[in-house]
Amino acid sequence: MQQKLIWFLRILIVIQSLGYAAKLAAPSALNSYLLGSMGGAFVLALDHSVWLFLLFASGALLVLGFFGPAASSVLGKIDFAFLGLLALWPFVASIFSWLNNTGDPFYATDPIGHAVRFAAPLALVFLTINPTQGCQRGVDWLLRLSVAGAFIGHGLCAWWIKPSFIDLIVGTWDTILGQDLSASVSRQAFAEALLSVIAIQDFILVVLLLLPHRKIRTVAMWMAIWGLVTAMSRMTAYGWGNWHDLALRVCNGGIPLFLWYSWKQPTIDRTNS
Amino acid sequence: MKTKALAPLGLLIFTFFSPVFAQPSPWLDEEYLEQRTSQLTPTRSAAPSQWRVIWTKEPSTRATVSWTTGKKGSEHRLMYGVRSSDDPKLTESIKPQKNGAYSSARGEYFHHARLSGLSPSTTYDFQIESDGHQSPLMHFTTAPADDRTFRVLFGGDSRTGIEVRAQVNLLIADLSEKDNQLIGFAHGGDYIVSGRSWSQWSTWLSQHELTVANSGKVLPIIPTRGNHDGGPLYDEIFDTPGGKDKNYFFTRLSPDVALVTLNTEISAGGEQRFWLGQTLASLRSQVRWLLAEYHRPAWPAVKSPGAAKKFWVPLFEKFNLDLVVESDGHVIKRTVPIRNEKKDPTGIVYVGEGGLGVPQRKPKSDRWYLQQPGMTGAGHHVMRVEFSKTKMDYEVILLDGKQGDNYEFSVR
Repeated sequence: MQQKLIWFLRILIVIQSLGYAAKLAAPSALNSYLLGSMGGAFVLALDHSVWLFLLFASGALLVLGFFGPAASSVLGKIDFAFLGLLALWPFVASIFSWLNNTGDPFYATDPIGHAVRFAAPLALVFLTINPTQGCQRGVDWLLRLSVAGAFIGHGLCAWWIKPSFIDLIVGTWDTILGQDLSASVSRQAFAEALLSVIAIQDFILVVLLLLPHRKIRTVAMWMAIWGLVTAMSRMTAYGWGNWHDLALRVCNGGIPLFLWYSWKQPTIDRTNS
Repeated sequence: MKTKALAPLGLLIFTFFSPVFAQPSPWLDEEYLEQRTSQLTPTRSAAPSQWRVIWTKEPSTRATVSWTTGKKGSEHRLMYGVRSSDDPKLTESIKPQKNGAYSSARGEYFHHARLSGLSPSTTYDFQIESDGHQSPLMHFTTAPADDRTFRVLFGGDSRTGIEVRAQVNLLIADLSEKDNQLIGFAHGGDYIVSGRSWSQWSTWLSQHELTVANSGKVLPIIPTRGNHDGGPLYDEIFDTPGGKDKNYFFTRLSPDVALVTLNTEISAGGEQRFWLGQTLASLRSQVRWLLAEYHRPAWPAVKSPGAAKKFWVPLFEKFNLDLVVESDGHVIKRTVPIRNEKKDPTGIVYVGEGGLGVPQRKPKSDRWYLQQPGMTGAGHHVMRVEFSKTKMDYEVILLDGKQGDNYEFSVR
C-alpha cells in the first residue's frame, strides 16, 4: 500500500484525536458514568489525564510516522501502543455514552455509529505490522464494515428523526438564509422530511458498499463527501467554535476517501515500495 | 438548698441555648434519614401512594393531583375543599380523569385528577382515596391572582445520589413548612438516570413524598424534561405537561410573573422556537418578571453549550428575560448579565446547573461569563426566588440550610 495512503490514515487519526482532546473541555461519557461512584475530583483528573494523553499521542504519532520505525523496534511498538489507545478511547466513549443513556435508542447506536473512529487506528496498526496483500484485504473489509456501521448508526438516527439532527439542518439553514422566526416551523418540517430521505440514502449506500466482490468507487466517493458534509454540519449550524465536532468525525468522510483512493491503486506491498 | 436555688437559672440557660443544641438540619443525621425513608408509603398495595400536585399553565385556578396504586383498582377519587379552619371540610370530590398502567411497571397504575375552577391564593385540603384506602390529609395553595409577594423553589438533577436526594427533599419540606409564601417547586429535569426505568422513577416518586411538610403542605411541582428523562414514563407521571411530544409550556405564576418551561430534548430551532418567540412577545408586555427554565444550558459551567444558545438566547435577549434557570452540569452557577455574547449590565443572568442529589462536579470557573459579579460553586442545593413589586431576590440554599449565593434583581 502506498506510503501516501498510510500517511493519510495517520493524519486522519491525529485530527480525530485532537478533536477528542478538544471535546474534553466538557466531561466525557466515562466521567459522567463514574461520577457517582468515584466522585468529582477523580473523574476530573481522569478526563484531564486522557486529554493530556490524546494531545501527546497525536504529536507522537506524527513524529513516529516521520521516522517510520520498523514494526519490531521499540519505537514501532510504542507507535502501536499509541494507536491502540487512540482506538480504545473512541470505543470507551461510545460504550459509556450508551450506558449513560440506557434505553435511549439514539445513544444505543453509538457503538456501531462510531465504529469507524476506533477501526481507523486499528487499521493502521494492521497495515504497519503486516503489509501483505492478505492483510490489506482484511483491513479493507474492516474499514468497509466500520464505515457501514457509521452510516447505519447515522441512518437509524435520521430515520427515527433525532431532534439534534433537525437542529443541525435548521441551524445550517439559519446560517445560510439568516434567522427567521416565522420560518422555524417550515424549516423543521423540511428537516424532518429530509431526514427520512437521508436515512434511506444511508442504508442504500451501506448495501452498495458491502457488495461482495465489488468495489464501487463512486459509492466510496459519495460516502466520503456525505460523511464530511454531515460532520461539517456541526460547524455550519453552530459556528466555527465547534471545529472539534468536525475533527472527531473526520473519519466518517476520511475513511471512505481512503477506500476510494486505495481502490484506485494497484495493491503494492509496502515492503517492496 | 444551693442546688434548688440554681435550678431556675439552669432552666433559663437551657431555654436560652436550646435552639443552639437542637439539630437545625435533622436530615443530615443518618438515623433520622433512615427513619424517614423507611416510612414512605408502600407502592404494591391498592392504597394510594407517590402523591404529587402538578402545575402547568394556570396555577391560580388549576392543578393536577396525581398518585400511584399498586393495582388497577375500581374506585378512585380525590376529595378536596377550601381550608377554612382546623376542621377540614372536603366538600368536593372528583374521579381522576386519566388512569393507566405505568409503562414497564410491575402492575402499578397512575391516576390524574385535574382540578379546575379553583380560587387563587387559596389553600385547599385534599385527601386521596383508592378502593377505600385513604392517603394522609394534605394541602396546597393556589397561585395568586394579585400582585402579592410569593416565593418559588427551583432545582434540577436528582438522578443519582439517592440518599442525598432524600435529604434535599427533607430540606424542601422544611423550607416549605416555615414559609407560607413559598408556593411551588420548579424541577429542572434529570429526575432519574434512565427515563425508561420504572423502578428508578418509582423510587423518585416515593421519595418525593418527603417534600411534603409535617403539616401536610404539598409544594406543586412544575416539571421540566431532562436528557435522562426520555420515554413515556415522564408523561405518565406528570400528566403530559405541555402536550405530547412537546413538554413545553408557560406557567402564569401570578399576573406579574411568568415562567416559560422549555424542552431541550426535542428540536430547539423548529416549532418550539417559533412558539417561544410568540409566547415571549405576548408575555413581556404583561408581566413584570419573566423567567425561563430548561435542562441543557446555553451558558454551561461544566459542559459545552446546548442548542439553546443558538436558538433561544437571541429571543431571551430580544424580550429581556429577567432570569433563566438551567440544570445538567451538577454545580452551582450564576453568570454575569449577558447580551450579544458579552457582559452587559442590561443582559440576562443564567443560574442553576443542578444539585438535587446528583454528585457535584468542579465548575469551570475560568469561563468569562462566570467571573465576578457572577459566581460558581459546588454543593447540593435548591434555589429560592422571591417575586415582589420592586425586586426579585434569588438565593441558593445549601443542604445544611446555609445560604450559598444571593442576588437581587431590579425591575427592568
